[in-house]
Amino acid sequence: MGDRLRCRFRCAEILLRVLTVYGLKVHDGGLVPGIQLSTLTGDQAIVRDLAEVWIVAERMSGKTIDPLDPCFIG
Amino acid sequence: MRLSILGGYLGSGKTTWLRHQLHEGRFKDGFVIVNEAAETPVDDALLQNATKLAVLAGGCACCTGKAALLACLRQLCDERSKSTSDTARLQQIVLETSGLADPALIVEAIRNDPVLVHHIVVSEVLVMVDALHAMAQLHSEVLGRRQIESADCFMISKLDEANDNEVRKLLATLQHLNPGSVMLGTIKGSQASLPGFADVEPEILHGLSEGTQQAPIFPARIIVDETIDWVAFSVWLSALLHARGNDVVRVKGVVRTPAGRLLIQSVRKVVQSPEILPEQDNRPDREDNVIVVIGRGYQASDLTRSLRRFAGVPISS
Repeated sequence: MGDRLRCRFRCAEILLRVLTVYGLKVHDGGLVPGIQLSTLTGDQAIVRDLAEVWIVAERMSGKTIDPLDPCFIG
Repeated sequence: MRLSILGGYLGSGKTTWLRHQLHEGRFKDGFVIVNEAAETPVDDALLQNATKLAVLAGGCACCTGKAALLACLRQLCDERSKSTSDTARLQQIVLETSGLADPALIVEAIRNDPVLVHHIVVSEVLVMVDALHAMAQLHSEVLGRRQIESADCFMISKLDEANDNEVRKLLATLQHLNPGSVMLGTIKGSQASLPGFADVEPEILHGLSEGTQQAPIFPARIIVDETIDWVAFSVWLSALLHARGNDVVRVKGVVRTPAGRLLIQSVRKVVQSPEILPEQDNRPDREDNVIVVIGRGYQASDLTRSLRRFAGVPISS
């Protein structure tokens, strides 16, 4: 497995861990460009990069995403 | 001896400019003093063209690090007095202040020092002004305004990234705040021309009283140890800047990655593309894998906890 692909999978794994807290699922199959975000109710979006992930994830979850939120680091 | 003070806000481009000037041969044979508020120096790694360099880390030279700066300058004076007439005597000192320093306080400290006052002439106070962020800083930060007021010469940086009309507005505002100062443009350290602003009205800035100031900005160190991989770190940084970009004023540090030693830098929400630093480094005390985050509105320990949570490693207490 190439480094690039390994990085993508690792990135998706981290995003999933973080965004689960906000009720979102993250998937990156490695075949097509982009990271897939989805809600438990079936809403889906594909984002291009990390900067976009947070904006789209906030819109889909209706919550502000803050890595320093006490509920996240507590 | 002439002393040039190079000031300007966090991430305004002081080191970039100085690095370019040293490369071009300005301040030739000068002694460079780099001051950083954080305990982990980063800037000196970039200034390898300076032949004589001292780093004063762990305290801003206008307040907590003032004694260290004065001691360093006195030592330079001493060494100069001891040198015989036929050896080249030091003529020029360049002080790169930390982004949290008020240059006027440094000038005052030198003038009030009984020894230094006879040896050192502050020849110029150069202040870097970030064309992208300076206006916001002028609106909200007392420090940002003090730096502007203390300058003899402004260097307007990041002209290539800023909108022309905003630059004009900024120039008019700077001239209004500090008339008579010289303004020069710079892009990545080399000189650039500034747009005309004769017909532009300065921005109206409301008074800021010390009491209503936000919490003070402080430097925090984060150790990116081997349990935290590069991907986790970059995901975390992007989330941090997304959520706290207005509070996290500056991030800088060197991280070891599979690609080599990477210099990470951000200013507010703008992340500079990482730069690979040479592996060869003659400073064994150099701390890699330490990131300095300068900002406000959180506890230093929150940053580490949050990063560990992203990387999926247990949060140690």
